[in-house]
This record gives sequence, structure tokens and C-alpha cells, in this order.
Amino acid sequence: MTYLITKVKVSNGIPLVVKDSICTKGILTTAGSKILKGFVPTYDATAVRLAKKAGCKVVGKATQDEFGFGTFSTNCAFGVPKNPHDLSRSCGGSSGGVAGYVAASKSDVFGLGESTGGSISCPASFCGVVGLTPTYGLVSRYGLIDYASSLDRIGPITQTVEDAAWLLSKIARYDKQDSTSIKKSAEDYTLYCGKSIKGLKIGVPKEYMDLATKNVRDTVTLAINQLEKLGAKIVPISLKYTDLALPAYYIIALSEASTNLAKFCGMRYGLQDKLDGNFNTYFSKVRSEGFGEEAKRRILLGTFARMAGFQDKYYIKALKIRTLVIEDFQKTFKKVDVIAAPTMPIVAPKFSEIEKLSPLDQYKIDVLTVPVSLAGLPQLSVPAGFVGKMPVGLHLIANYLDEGKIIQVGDAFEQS
Amino acid sequence: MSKVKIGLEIHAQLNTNSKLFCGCKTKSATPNTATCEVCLGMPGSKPVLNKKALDFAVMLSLALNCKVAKASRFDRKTYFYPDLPKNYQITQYHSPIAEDGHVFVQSKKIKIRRIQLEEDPGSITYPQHIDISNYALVDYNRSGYPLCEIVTDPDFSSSKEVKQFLKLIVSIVKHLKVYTSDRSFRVDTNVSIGRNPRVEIKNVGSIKDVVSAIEYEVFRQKQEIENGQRIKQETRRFNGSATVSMRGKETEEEYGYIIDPDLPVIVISDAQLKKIVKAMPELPSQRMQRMMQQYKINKHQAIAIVSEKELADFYEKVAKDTDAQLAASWISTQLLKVLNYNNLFFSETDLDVQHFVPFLNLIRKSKISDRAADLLLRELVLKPQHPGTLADKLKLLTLTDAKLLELTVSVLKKHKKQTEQYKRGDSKIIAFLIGQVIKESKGRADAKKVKQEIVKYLA
Repeated sequence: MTYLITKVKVSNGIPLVVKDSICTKGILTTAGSKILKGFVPTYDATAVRLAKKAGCKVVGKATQDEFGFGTFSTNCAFGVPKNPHDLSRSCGGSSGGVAGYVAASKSDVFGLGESTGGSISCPASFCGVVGLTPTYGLVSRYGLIDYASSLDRIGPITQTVEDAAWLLSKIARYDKQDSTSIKKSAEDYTLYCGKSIKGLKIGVPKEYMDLATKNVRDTVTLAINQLEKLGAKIVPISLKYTDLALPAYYIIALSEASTNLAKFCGMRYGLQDKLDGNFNTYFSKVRSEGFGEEAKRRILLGTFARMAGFQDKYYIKALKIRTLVIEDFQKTFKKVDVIAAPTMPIVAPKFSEIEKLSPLDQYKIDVLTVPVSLAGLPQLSVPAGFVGKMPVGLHLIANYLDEGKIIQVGDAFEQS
Repeated sequence: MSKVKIGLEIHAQLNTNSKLFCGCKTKSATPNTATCEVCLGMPGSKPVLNKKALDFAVMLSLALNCKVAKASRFDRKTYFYPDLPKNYQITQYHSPIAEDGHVFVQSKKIKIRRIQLEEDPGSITYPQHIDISNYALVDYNRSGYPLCEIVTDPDFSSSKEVKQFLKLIVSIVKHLKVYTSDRSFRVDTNVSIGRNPRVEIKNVGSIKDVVSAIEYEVFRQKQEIENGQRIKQETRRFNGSATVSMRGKETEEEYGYIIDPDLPVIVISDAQLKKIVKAMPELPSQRMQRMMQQYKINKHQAIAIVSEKELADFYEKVAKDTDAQLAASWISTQLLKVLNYNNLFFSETDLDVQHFVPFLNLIRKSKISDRAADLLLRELVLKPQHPGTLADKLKLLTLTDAKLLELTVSVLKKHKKQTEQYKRGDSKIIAFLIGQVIKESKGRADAKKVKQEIVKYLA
């Protein structure tokens, strides 16, 4: 099965599979891109270092959409992972290799994924595993190959909520090497497992339910009913900037990505070519060869959006919408403890269906995960049930640093 | 002819121990050894702001009377160049550290538009001239050095004003200890005449070269205008004697600035600001006031002395060991004149207290006339040595009484007619006789003493 780009032999320890965009000392790290061919970091990402300290052993680097650019893990330079529940379907993206590997594994295995616009939740939902995306800044980004620095988050992809809580407890530390890291003392998130959810207020956003296909909506509705049975109070809510969040997300993410990817030019690491012509010619040659089609599309879109003539219209406006989205969530969390919704509007699609989607259609499928990504709120996708043989994810969202609450609800649901 | 307008962008490397966004040292080292994953832009690395550099920038902002922003940010300026590891430079565009300041250069107000922090790129060396080299070498040791950029309004109308301003800025940054002479100090200069487009002269590395470049550029533009040519908006470089075209002016747009999402908002609290103010060393303007009181010297002298930090340090050392007012008078006039004449800054000479104090003592003890002292100083500045020995060698010392008498007698004998006139009561003619003695002495006789000798001899 093509879940891993690099397989590492280890004898003992807790097996950990790591998304390829996260640097691992001495192990090839490509972020799923040909342009980083041969790049072996001299350092571990902080999250990897901390996981190792907790007893984890890196067993492999998982394939992914190039730099995280995709919803289906079909934009991969080193292998497209297939959904263990149906090999003709996608694992979701962009941490598809990690989720697929964790889902296919017969034994205990932990995964480290990375999300920019939903890249942990989406594959977790499609593969029927748990994906926990913590508050922005809770887990250090040091050593993560950036997609969009203001959105990127590292988080666990595991078989159970308790596993995710355990791994998060080990990797959530203040790190002075990441200026956006949150100064917060360590917390044992497993303590939130096995707790009653009686009296917790769970908001269900109408907009999110409406955007899901009927099968998915029905499955998630059953899950929410189950939460009510467990004692939670279900509150209908409205998140009115949902439709604006999608374009704002893509503008911000791609503007940042187009600068983050500027460093890849075949000069100091990664793909190289024969040196001739001036540096401009050489950089263009390496970048044309090394980047895949989607990476090129996103670099072009991002570069366009941040040009001075268009900046106010796109980049600056998107930043304003981001503030509105954040305020919308903040208002909501005055009324409810947790938001529950479908993780993805659909179940994992067939590769043959994905081929027919335009890039814009593909971007639209992120509609449920991008608002929460823009806000940087903690989110947890737990398996909610099936449509046919394909899993459906229940998305739980909480306020900043309220990881405990979504773990509490997710674990209670999983155990019921 | 229309008015010349000049504006400056100064990039001063800050005197911090480590780089702006990583822990690498800022000492000179073998190429590509003072580097790490951050300043090499390795995948996954992230910048962390050097607090010292921030303090320095704030200190400088306050010294230049700027409004320090309570919140500022870093931005990414994207362009592809081999010396720029990330292919974007972390700089400040949307919200700089400080804005809206000013300094006075001789009573003319020069507005400081903004002060910002940014990282220096690496450096490129070519084995031969850039145009014929078939390869280039990149050294990333400089990558990430902290730069403070000072942007002025186009308030200057001559190279002379620019020179005085730059000298003042250098004096200020040296007094604040945020900059030392071993760091780089580079200036981009915008020159325009009347309503014609402005031309930018990039990356000139010394005050003298900035002055020469402006003089050349103003001359060139005036010529073009006189010849009916249109001035192109462009970027030029200075090759030591002339400015040459580099490229058409890139507009700001092409850099696609965005907020650097790896770095949070820089918040400067009132408490921090107070702490920085408290820790601020004496500024040239404060030093000037203090020196006026402490050494009883006048304002004109004090201003001249603090124009260069090294000169002010020198003066205070000299003042401790000899007559402070005499020292101020000689330093602020004759010494600066000699330096200017030779196009030298004081810091470029080896003149030291051990030369200058005995020099002043020669004057104090009337062992040398003012005119001879002036001549002696010219020699001393270029080739510092013991002033007494040199003066003796150059026959500049005042004559002894015996020699003076001998000389006076011989002059009187030579000019019998005038001597007779004097004897007959024409007292005015003595001036002529004194003049002759001084002339014969080659400036080594003191006028007052000569007069005494003549009066005594002919009495």
C-alpha cells in the first residue's frame, strides 16, 4: 500500500507515522514534492522531538498532497494513497498518507498530521479515524515545512480519541524556536476521557448541516442525537460568514504559500539541475521541473492576490473577513461549549469522480473545515458512522485552548 | 534652474552580538560558517526576533524624535536573488517600528519618514568584474544581520547638507552604541531636479561616496536637462567616480508584500519604552550641552566637536590634560579646517592625545606662534608624531630671546631709513619693522616680543 514515502525499520517503541512535510532528522523529508527530492533535514521538528521523547519511534514518512495542496491526496509526487475502506476511493487530503496508514494498521499506531485548511480532519473523516487539530500555536511549527504559516497546525491522527489526547499531551509545549508558539504549561488531555458530558451545550450550525449531502447529514444527525442521549444540550446556531470564509481562506493561504515556496529554487537543497544561464533561468528551470501542477497553480494565484494593484481587493479584504469569522465564532462560544457538525460534506469520493472535478469544485469541498481553520480553533473529527461501507466524520469544534472539551465529547461519543 | 531635492534611505547594521532572527554570531568568519537553518532559509526553520535589535531600533527612533509604534509588524518582501536564502526578505512595510521624526542640521529641519528593522541578505563575490565573471560565490554569513533603515523626506537641497546630516546620524548611532565603524553603513539616495522623475542611487557604502555620487548625479541631471534630454526614472549605482544605470525603476508593487505570518505583532508597552529611555546613553545634543557647562566652551565650538563621536571623545581626553578652552578653540576651527581640506574624518587619522596635548602646550607656553602652530598642525594630522621634535625639525619654534635680539638688530641695521624715522618720533613705522622681523624669522617670532625688543633697543 502506498501510504509511505520512506519506511524506517525500528525494533521497539510506539510506532509513529509522520506526514512528510514535518522534518525528521536523518530521514528524507520531501513534503510530497519532487522539488525537495533528496532533502534530509539535520533536525527534528519540535513535535517529532517531543513525540520521540515520549517513547515514539518514527516508522515512516507518509505521502501527502504536495506541500498540503489538496483535499484528496491526489496531488502527490510520491504515490497516491488508497482508502483502506474502498481502494477505488481517496483517503482525503492532505494528510491522506497518515490517515490511510493509521486506518489500515491492524495494530496500534500513532500519526502526526498537519492541517492548513482541514488537512487533518478531512482524511480522518474519509478514513474513519480520529483527527485532532489543536489551537493554532499550541503545538510548535518548528520544523514543519510551511504551507501557510498563519494557518498551519500539527496534530495527532490516531485510532482512538484517547490516543489523540495522549499524543497531544506530549507534543503541546511552548517552543521558543516558533514565535507563534503559545506560552502555556503542559496539560494531560487524557484526563478528559471517560468524563460525562451531561449539561454541556453543543451548538449545531444550520449552515454546516445544509451544506452536507443527505446521507452524511443523516449520519451526523444520528450522532448528534446520541450526544443528546448522553446528556448534552443541543442548541441550534447560525454561523453566518461560512460562505465568505472559503474565498478568504484560499486568498490568505495561497498568498502565504507563494512566499513560503519561493525558497525552493534548486540552490541549497532538494532538486538540482545542470547549472547554465543566469540564476533567473536556473531558478525557473528547477521550479518548472520540481513543482507539480497544483503547486504551480497555487503559487500563481497567491502571487496574483498579493500584488500591490490587487492587494486591497484580495489579500487585505481576506484578512478583514478572517476577523469577522473569528468574531462570529467568539460570539457563538458565549452560548455553547462545543460546536458539532459534519467534518466533510461528502464521504470519500472515487478517484474517477475526483478526476472530473475542476480545481474550484475541489476547493469548495473544504467549505466546512476552512472557517474553523481561519479562526485557528481546536477541532476533532471522530468517526460518526457509515454511508455504505464509507466512514463519516463528526466534527467537534471548541474555543481556543478548550481541547479538553472536544476530547471529552469525542471520547464520550466513541465509548457509547 | 529648478530646485534639487534629495532624500535618503540609510541602512545601518546594528551592533548586536547575534543575527536578527537566529542565534548566529555577527562576527566576521570563514564564508558560510556563521550560519544555521534559519539564516540559510532551510525548510521548516522559523525566525525568532532578536530583542536587542528591537531595543536598538527603538532607541534610535527616540533619538531621531520619531513616534514609536505601540504595535508594528514584519512583512515579507519577495524577490528572487541568490543571496536571499528564502527569496523573500523579512522587512517592515505596512507598519514600521517608528514614523514621523526629525533632526536639525544647522537649524534646517530634516524629516524622518520612518525607521524599520530588516534582515540583511548574504553577500556575493565575483572572481573578476561582474560583467565578465562566469561564476559568482555566495556567502551567507551576512544573511540575517540586523539592519535599521532610516528613511528621510526629500528635504535636502545639496550634498553639503547630506554630508552634515549623515555625519550627525553616524555620531548619534555611535553615541547610542547601536552601531560601530566595523559594521556596514549603506545609503540609497534619491535625487531629482524640479518636477523631473527621481533617480535612485543604490547601495553607496560611505559618506564620502554618497557626497561624490550626489555631486556627480546633480551635475549629470542638470546637463541632461540643459541638453533638452528627458530624465528617466531609474536605479543607478556609483562606481567610485560616476553613477551608472542599473535598471529601470522597479515599482513597489512587484514585491508583493504580505504580513510575515511567522512573526507575531511587536508590541511595545509604555513600561518597555521607559526602560529603554532610561538605558539610553548620552546623545550628541546632550553631550554638547554638558560640554558647554563643564568646559565653559561656546555653542559653536561644542556643535563642531560633537559632529563626530571620535572627535568628541578625543576632545574630552585632551581637555582633561590641558587648557579645555584652548583645546576647544583649536579643535573646532583649525583642526576641522585641516581635516576638511584633506577630506578626512577625524576617525580616519591617527591623531591622539599624546600628540595633541604637547601641541597645545607649545602654544600655551608661547613656544610657537599661532601661525607656526597652524603649519605644524597640518603636518601632525597627516603624520602624527611628537609635536616638539617636529616643530624643531621644521624650524617652527619661537626664537629664543638671544636669537630674537640678534635678528632684530640685524633687521634694524638693514632698514636704516625706517629706523631713523622711528627715532625721529614716527611711532607708526614700528609696525613695518616688526613685520620685517617676523618675515625674517619665518614666522617664528612673536609680534609682541619683537615690539618690546625694538623699543628697548632703540630707547
